[in-house]
Amino acid sequence: VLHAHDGRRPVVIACDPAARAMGIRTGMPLAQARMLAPDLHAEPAAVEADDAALEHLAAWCLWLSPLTSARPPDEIWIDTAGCDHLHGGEEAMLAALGDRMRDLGYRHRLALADTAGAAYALTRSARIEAPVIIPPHAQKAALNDLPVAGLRLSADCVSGLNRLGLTTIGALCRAPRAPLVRRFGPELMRRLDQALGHVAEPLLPQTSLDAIIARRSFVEPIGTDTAIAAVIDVLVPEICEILIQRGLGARLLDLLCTRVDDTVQAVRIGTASPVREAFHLARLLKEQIETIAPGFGIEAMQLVVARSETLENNLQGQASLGERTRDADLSCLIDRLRNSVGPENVLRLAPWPSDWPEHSQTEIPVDARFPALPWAACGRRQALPRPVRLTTPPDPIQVVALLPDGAPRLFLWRGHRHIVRGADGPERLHGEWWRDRAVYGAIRDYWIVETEDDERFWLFRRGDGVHDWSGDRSWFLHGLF
Amino acid sequence: MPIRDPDSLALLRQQIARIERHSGSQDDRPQLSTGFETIDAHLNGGLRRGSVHEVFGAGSDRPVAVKPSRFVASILSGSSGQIVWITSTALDLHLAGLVQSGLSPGRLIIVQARPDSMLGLCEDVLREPGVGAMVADLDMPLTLTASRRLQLAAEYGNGIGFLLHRETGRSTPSASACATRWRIRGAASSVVPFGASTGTGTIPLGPEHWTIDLLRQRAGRAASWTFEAPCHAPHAFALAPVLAHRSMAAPASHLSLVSPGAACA
Repeated sequence: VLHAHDGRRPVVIACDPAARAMGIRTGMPLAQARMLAPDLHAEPAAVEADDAALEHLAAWCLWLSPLTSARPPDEIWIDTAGCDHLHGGEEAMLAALGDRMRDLGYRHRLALADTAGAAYALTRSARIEAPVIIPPHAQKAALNDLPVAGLRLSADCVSGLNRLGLTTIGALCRAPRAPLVRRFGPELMRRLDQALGHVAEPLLPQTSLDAIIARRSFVEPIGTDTAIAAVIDVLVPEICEILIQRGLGARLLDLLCTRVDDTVQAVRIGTASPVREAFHLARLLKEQIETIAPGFGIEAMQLVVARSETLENNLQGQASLGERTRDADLSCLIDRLRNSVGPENVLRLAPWPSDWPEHSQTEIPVDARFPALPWAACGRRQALPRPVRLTTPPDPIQVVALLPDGAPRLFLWRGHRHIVRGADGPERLHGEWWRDRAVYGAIRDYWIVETEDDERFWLFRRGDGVHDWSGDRSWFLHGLF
Repeated sequence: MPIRDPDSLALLRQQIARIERHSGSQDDRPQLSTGFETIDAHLNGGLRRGSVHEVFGAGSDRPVAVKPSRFVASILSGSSGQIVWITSTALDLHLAGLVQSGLSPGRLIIVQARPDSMLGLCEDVLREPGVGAMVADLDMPLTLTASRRLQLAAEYGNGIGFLLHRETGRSTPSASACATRWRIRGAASSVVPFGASTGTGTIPLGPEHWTIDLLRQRAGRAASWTFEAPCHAPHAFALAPVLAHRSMAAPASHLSLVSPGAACA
């Protein structure tokens, strides 16, 4: 057996099958174990060496997936999202991993689940060397009968729960949350939510050996914005130098701040195109400083290039030209906007070949190319006036017209009566039956009307006013001029 | 102690010039034409970069700000560079209309921000020297402090900003530090050349007219004009391009289409 000191006495922390057969368990005081087996061979545990071996094994697991993480004392987490098809499916992947581990001489338990917490609970209960796979979104059912010890809780918490009769995770799920939180602290429910996938749990990836990393550890923990910014100013040029040497540009950067309480605050920034200008990257990172909660202080910061792309070196030479710096400024601004409001909220509008006004444009990412269009098909319609803003969805209005297919004379919109002085139209648009069967035969007649208040509106009537199949003759306001 | 070094003297002069620049009287920054000669003359050449301008709509257009958008778009059609258009509500811009007002789709970057981060973003964009112009749809009243911040950001980055006020409620806008404040209203269109009423009793529309009020201007007078609305549409008549391609026989699309101006019963 291996033993270590837990603060009061030496305890057994690992035992082999022979010792187990004698009734020795982990956590048992060493003296008690010696009583059970007088000829016990006990060695002090080398915790650092174990951790180093685990790190080594996690790095070895990189053949399986780019995201692996060693979790001392004895776990390795592997994020296999998107990797299983490379190894012929999830079962084949786990079988291959198990075979190779056995070849290396490791005894192991494998579990695959949607969340790391669920996989952890399964490995704690699984049989040795029989992989367990949980289908997506089924972790709640799978964890139902497992003991609460699988939730990575402290020993006190587990025994407390057992005393309450909450021995399985399923029972814990059904129990009221608030009293439990009051009694055991927020950690319990956080672990439960992590296992069930209600709360995201980041993986600290084992970095491959050629990763671009800059790291600084501090003598005194830092906590102020200015101090963090100063460290960023040191880390970024280091990264940029390596990027230039390798002819790369960063697309995704992670700034990991290790706090004194040994938790990690991570900041991730993305760029629209590969970047290696130190000013650009530093500015993006500094914008995110306020999202870092330093707590009692940060004792180490690490900057990792999570994704990079090749970038031609000659661009660096052109950077002195005025036009180039102008573009660079703009790409820096776009990156900052994307990081602050989210990439999907920075966009361009591109024309789309459709007659119906609300479908005649599409939103594209700001760095995307404009879709090629058959301009000849929509060129003629460009000449007809269109409002700058559309009312979406069109506002229903009440209209008085002299003839069912004639121009409106009076309409009510948002409680105001508008008397029409002049009207222009109709501009008839037909339903695009080749896109949507439901609009086959549908007609919209658009009118531009000027009211007595000198305002111009864009109204349309469903249908041609004569035939019922073309529309129900209701009127809508689609915009102002 | 007398300063002997000419360099430090020049440095001091530069500093003083920079401080004085904020008062903005002897300004040599590039100007942006509004597209109306009379207004440009009144503004001593046009709207200056390094300033923020407010535009209001009127009547039903007040919460929508369509005419202000067209006014700003037609001003910016004469400039170059990317335009960052910041909005905090659902996107209601219509590209076809913007193109007719003179903006090309390749120049427009749209940012959808949360209402609380809106003004910070505006300030950030104005500080950026690479941006052609900033346009913001304001759905909340602008405080004096916020307008001062935006104006300072514009002076710092030499950018030009347009604030389209869409907030409802108070009819009289509060004080602000912006360089100019405009209101665009519709005006009665001129008498139609034909003058004849059609069978439905309505008269066909003539060219659109706007009343442009310069409500206030820093170090300048307020004024009001009525103009024909600016039109950047490539061609008002659908017939011309058809003739140019000598394909009178078959129209490009089978959809029936009535050209504007031909109001039919």
